[in-house]
Amino acid sequence: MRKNLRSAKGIVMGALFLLGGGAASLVYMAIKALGDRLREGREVPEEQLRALREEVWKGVWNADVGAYLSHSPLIFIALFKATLWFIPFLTLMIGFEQIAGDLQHRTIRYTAIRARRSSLVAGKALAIWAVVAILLLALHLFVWLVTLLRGDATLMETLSWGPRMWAFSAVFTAAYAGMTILASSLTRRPILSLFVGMIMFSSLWVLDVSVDVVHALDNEKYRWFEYVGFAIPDWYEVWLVSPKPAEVVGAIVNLLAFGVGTTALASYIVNRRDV
Amino acid sequence: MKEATTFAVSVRGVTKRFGATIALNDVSFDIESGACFGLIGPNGAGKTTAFSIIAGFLHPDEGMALVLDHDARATDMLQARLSVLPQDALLPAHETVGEFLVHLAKLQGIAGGKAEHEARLALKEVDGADWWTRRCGKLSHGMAKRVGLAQAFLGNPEVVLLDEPTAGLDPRIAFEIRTLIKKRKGGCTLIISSHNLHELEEICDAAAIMDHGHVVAAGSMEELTAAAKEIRIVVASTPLPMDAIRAIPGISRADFDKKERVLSVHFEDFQGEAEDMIAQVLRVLLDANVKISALAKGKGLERRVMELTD
Repeated sequence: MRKNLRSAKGIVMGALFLLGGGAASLVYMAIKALGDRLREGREVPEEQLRALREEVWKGVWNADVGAYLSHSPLIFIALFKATLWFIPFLTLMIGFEQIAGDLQHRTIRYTAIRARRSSLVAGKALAIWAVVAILLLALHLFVWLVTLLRGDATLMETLSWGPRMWAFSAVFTAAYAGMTILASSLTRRPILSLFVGMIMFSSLWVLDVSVDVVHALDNEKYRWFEYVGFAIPDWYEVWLVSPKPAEVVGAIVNLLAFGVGTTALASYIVNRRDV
Repeated sequence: MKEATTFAVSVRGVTKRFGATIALNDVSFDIESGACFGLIGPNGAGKTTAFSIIAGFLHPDEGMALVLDHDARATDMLQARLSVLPQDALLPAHETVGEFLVHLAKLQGIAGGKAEHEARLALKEVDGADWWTRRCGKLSHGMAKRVGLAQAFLGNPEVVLLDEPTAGLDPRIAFEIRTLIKKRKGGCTLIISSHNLHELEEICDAAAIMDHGHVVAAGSMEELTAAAKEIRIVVASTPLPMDAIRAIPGISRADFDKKERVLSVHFEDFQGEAEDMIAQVLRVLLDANVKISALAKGKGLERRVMELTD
């Protein structure tokens, strides 16, 4: 983990995350300023703003979630949603060479003779997860600070919604850390692993969009396809932000299971292969 | 009571294929505990494959390799007991030498503070104490080889595999590494793969000669080089008293290669030690005023390998 954070790639990623946090804050500030100008000094009742937030989150997820999240500061939920978009890419960038790089240069020979290969793979998956979670925390902290300084949310709101959204992002990352380590274990060439990971993640994204489209079509004939969603980590984001605790727990369990399952598969592959 | 291990390594009927190529074909040999054993052979003979199977890096397609009575891939059982200096594995470029060695020490079960102590000790042993904070990627080839050797000897493992430990090194560093390896002799089972036959003849007690994926000869160095059965004397002057030499009791054959100026004396049935025979032959030669340039026991590993391999 320390190696990742200290490497040129880790530093660049860290800088990108902070820039991302800065950009997110700037975009939010710009939207807020535009809204203020459009209102031309007129005070908008909080209830109207809440209704607007509800409509937005209902559109993104569903009515229950919309109603639940309408009471939260917009910036934290928007940041969470934005974070989910780039977590797969960032996790892949951080981790694609973790196993493939060691196989390519045979550095794994120094470690494989001393520790079980499954332990090495699990350690690397955890390291990827921890690094991305720490970088996410840096990004989220930046936004919390700006939000507090600008007075866009109270301290209580920030402490209530901010860490929660970061924790959900971190849980979401677990699934992608596992899939990244799986992609990395499939080839001896980091660049190929990167392509494999990109193909894997793109396929999941296409599947997720397809499930959404089928859901929107509301056609009984294709209803079965919606069950494919259960096999896609992205599908569980709606459960993560659900007002129902059982769904939140279900999302956490499933996303962690994705991470553990794919890491176990990577361990099996590395265990079977010649190094 | 724990049963004593007779063989540190047993390779039993191992076959390994890479696609259509058979790298090892039903290979078997044993290595006694505490021995210094050489794996010898030309390029493509299967040395590195055999080595990698013993280290657990490769799966044999048939047969098995036992290390300290355990399957070579039983990492849990062999943790800290088996180590390797791989020939072509790069050190992690971004880690410092200290971090790398401490990490490996911890992986093999040496606890926190002691891990650093052991790592520093291993690095000191290869004369690399000053490199602790250097990045592995910044080390020269010779320095990297020594760091590789330090990690191989970390925590005093029982079996150490050294794959081409002096390959690509200048003679001075190669000599220093040979000295380091010799210092370890007797303290653990050493298995060395090398192209440098003089080096192996100098260091090893026993060896297996491989060719085209087969073991073509195996045994003690003395057996392999026929050191107890043959002497070779390079002479600077002739004629030689061949009849007098052949008349020495115990000598079965004596030949003189005029071109090479080498006198070969064979004594397969001689019951005494080779040194006694050397004394008798030298006495005859000196009595005949023959000038002697050099003398060697046996035919030398290099000649033996040339005879046995294509």
